Amino acid sequence: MDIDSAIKEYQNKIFKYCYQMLRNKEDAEEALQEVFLKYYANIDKYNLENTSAFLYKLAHNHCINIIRKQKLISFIELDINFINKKSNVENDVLNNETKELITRALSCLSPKDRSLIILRLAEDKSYEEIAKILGKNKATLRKQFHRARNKMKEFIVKENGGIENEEDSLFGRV
Amino acid sequence: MKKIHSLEEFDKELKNEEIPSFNTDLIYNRINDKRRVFMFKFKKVALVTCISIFTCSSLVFAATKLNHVLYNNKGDKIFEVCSKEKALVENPNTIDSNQLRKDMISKFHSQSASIDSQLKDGEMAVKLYKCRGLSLLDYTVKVKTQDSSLCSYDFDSKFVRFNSYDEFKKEIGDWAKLPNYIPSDARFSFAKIRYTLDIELMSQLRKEMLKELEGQDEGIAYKVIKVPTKSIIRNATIFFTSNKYGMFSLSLFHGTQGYKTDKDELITKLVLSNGSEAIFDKNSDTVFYADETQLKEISELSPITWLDKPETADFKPYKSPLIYTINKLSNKNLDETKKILESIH
Repeated sequence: MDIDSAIKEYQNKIFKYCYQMLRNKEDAEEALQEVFLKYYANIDKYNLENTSAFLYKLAHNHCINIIRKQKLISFIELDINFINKKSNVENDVLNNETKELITRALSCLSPKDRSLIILRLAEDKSYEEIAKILGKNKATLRKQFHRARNKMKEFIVKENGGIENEEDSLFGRV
Repeated sequence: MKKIHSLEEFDKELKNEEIPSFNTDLIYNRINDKRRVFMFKFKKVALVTCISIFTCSSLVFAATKLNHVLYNNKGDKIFEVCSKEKALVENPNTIDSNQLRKDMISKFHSQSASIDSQLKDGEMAVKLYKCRGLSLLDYTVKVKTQDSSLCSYDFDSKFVRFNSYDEFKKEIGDWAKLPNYIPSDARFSFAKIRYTLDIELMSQLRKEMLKELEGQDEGIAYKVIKVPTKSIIRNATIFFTSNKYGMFSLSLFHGTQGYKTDKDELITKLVLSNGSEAIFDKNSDTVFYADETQLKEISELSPITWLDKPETADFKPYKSPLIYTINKLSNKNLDETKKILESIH
């Protein structure tokens, strides 16, 4: 797929993934540019049969590197303090609260787990597709997904003052 | 504060999370830059190869020191060092994009300055420079406050600079909360506000101006619009000077009561734990808790304990050069806490 078609078709999806991973618009924009720049640089080198998987793989690797470099978890921890504060504009409060809610939940996961959760839940990818992106087999991914869901469940229980919601005993989606 | 009550609720929130808009042009700009660099490298390699072949074939060449021209044995000019301006005119692709940008701005400087001089307060000039098939979008903002002597304009980095704290405060309005605590000897130096451009509007103006310049090899077109409003402030930074810390900055965040500083020596940090606010003193590894009745001092608590979570084993302990703090302590012991902060500093 040529670069123009790839940008047209995948820019929104890749930006969404990068934004949900990095939790910051500027970083996501930077990541988006890097992803397509790398795609452009490699477009002639490889016979890219699966453009989608290749782009997500580039985005995944880039986001993981960014998080590692910036120790994003720590930034998120601190940002939460800021977002927790009251805002004067009602809409901002709602948007901030939702963003903070997701950020808080994702911050209990490692970057790789976070990526898996986003690909599976937000992007609706199958294990087969995720396996191609992350370079792991489906069984490993299933286990990793369960572990990540357990961590999230612990987080939810902790958030609700130790009260477990019985409806979640099966960990929801698998 | 919103909470998650079930995994399903989290799944739904994650899936439906509002994603901000982004600028597609940035991708194309980066790719076009890459293309130009590639062409530049390719031409450079071709040129070097060409010269080498001539040299290896025992061709007679001469380099005239005064004008750096090389000739082959037939007397033909094969290489010439010329000025950037000349190279730009002859072959724009041989100049890197940043240089090209500077050269184009410089080329149209006088016309651009003339347009800028006619701007009225609250207006913005969007200019399109065209030269040898290339175009560049540039803009100038003019903001005048009540007392113009207190406000100057910094167009280079597209920031509006404020030399008066009061004027800056007025412009910021409700966009962000200003810090109500800074080190006691810190003095306001100046502040900058950067605005986000309306990308759709810019694209539309660009198209219109390109149409105006159609058929011309080079030229300048411009449109005057109203200056961006407060609602599209992108970021704001205040610069302070202090005898102890020199110059340091505080970046404001939209809709929050927090700010960050570039100064590591500002050692206090506000942390939140189970709803209680606390101030962390890096030097003494001490956390000061603030509650309704008293301040409790808890010693021997390292920052790593606070920030590094066992679930995130992939990460090394966090040591950021940026120190975060919060401007408001929501308890009755604000004065007492301030005293502690003063004693820390």
